Amino acid sequence: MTDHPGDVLSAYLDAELGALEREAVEAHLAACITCQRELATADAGRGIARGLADVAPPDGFFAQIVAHGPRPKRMLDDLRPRRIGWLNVAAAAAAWILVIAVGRLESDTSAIPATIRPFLAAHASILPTFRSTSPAQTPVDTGMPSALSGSFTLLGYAVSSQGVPHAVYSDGVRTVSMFTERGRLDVSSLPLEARPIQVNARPAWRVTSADGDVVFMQNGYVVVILVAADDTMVEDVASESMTLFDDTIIDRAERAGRALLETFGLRG
Amino acid sequence: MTEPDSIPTWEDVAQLHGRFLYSVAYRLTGHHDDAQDLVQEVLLRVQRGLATFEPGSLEGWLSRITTNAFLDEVRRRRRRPLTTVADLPDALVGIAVEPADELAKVHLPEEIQAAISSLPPEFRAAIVLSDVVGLDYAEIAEQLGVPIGTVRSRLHRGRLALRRKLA
Repeated sequence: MTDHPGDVLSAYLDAELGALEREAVEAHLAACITCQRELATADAGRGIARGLADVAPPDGFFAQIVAHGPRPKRMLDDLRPRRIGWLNVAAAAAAWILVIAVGRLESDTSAIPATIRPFLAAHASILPTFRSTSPAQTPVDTGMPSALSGSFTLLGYAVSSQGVPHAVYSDGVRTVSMFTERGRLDVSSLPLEARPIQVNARPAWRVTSADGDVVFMQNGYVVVILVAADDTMVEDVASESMTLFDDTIIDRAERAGRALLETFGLRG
Repeated sequence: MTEPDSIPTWEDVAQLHGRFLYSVAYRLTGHHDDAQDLVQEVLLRVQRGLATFEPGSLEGWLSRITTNAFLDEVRRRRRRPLTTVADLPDALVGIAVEPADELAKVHLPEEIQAAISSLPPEFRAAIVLSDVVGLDYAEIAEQLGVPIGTVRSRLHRGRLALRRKLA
C-alpha cells in the first residue's frame, strides 16, 4: 500500500487535485479503511464549517459607522494598562491552557497539594481535571496572577467540563477557583437570585449556588469561589482582583456569564 | 460574487457588503466586540486606500483585507512574551473514528464557533476563507502568502480538529 495521503484528503474532497493525484488517492482509499475514516472526518469538519449561517451585526452598527466614519480599532489590548499586562493574554492563554490540559493531564495525584484534593473531588463533575503548575509555567505564560489577596497562591489549573480553564488558588485552608472572560457582562443573563454588591465601589453581582459563590463583575472578570464562603472572603478576593483592572476596559462588550451560568446550573 | 466596475468606497462596503464583512470578521475573531473592531479596521483601510483594489471578486478582496487585518492583530499580540500555539497538537488532530450517526450530531452555532475559535488563527483563517467565503486553494494561498501545500495542510488538520472538538 502507498503512503497515506494525509493532508491531501481535504484537497481531494475539495476537487483541488489534478487527475493523477486524484486517481492515486482514490486507489489508496479503495484499500485503506483508516483513510476512508479520515476522509469522512474531514468531510464532517468541512460540513460543520460550511453549515454556518451569516452573522448579523448589531442593529445600527453600520449606520453609525456611515454617519460618523470608521473609528480606529480599539482592540482590547490597546485599552489595557501596562500594569495588567498579564490579563492581555487571557484569551490566548485560555486556549493554550486547554491544549495543555487535554494533552498532558496530571496522572500523578501525589503532585496535587493535599489541601485541595477534597475540593477537586467535591467538584469533579464540574472540574474533572487538574494540572498543577510547574516552574516553567509562570503566571506570565498563563495570564493569571500568581497570588490573590496576598495569601492565596496559584496552585494550578482545573479544566471545567465545558473546557474552561480555572485557576485554582488556595491559602492552605480555603480554595478559590476563578477564570477570566473578556468584555462586559451580559447582566440580562444573570439569574433572578443574583444579588448586586459593590466591589471597590463598582457594581458586581453575587450568586450563591450549591457549588459555591460566583461573583460577576461588569469589566468581564468572573470570580468563582467553589466553597462556602463568607461575605468578607468573597469581597476580599473580588476586591483584590478588581485592582488589577483599569476603568478603560469596563465598557468592553462580552459574552461571559452564559456559559458559566450553564456550568453551574444557574441559568435563570 | 459581486464584480464591481470601479473601486468601491468604504461607505459602499459598509452599506452594501456589511453583513458579509461582519460574518467573516466574526468567524475569524469569535467575538462580537472583536468582530466590530475588525470591521472598523477594514473600513479604515479601505477609506485610507491602504488596501489595493484589483478588479475581480469584491468579496474576495474584502476577505483578503479582513484576514490580513486579523492576522496583523494576531502577530502584534504575539510580540508580547507569551506562549502561543504554533500548530495543532496531535492529540487534537488524530483521526477520529466514529460511527456515521455521530457524524450527523447536531451542534449549536455557539458550539461550532467556539470550536473554530479554539483553532490556531492561521488554521482558522484557512477554514474561514475556504468554507465560509468559498475561495479556492490558489486564492487562499495568495491571500495568506503561503504555498498551496500549506493551505492543504491547514485546511485538513483544521477540519479534523474541528470535527474532533465537536465529537
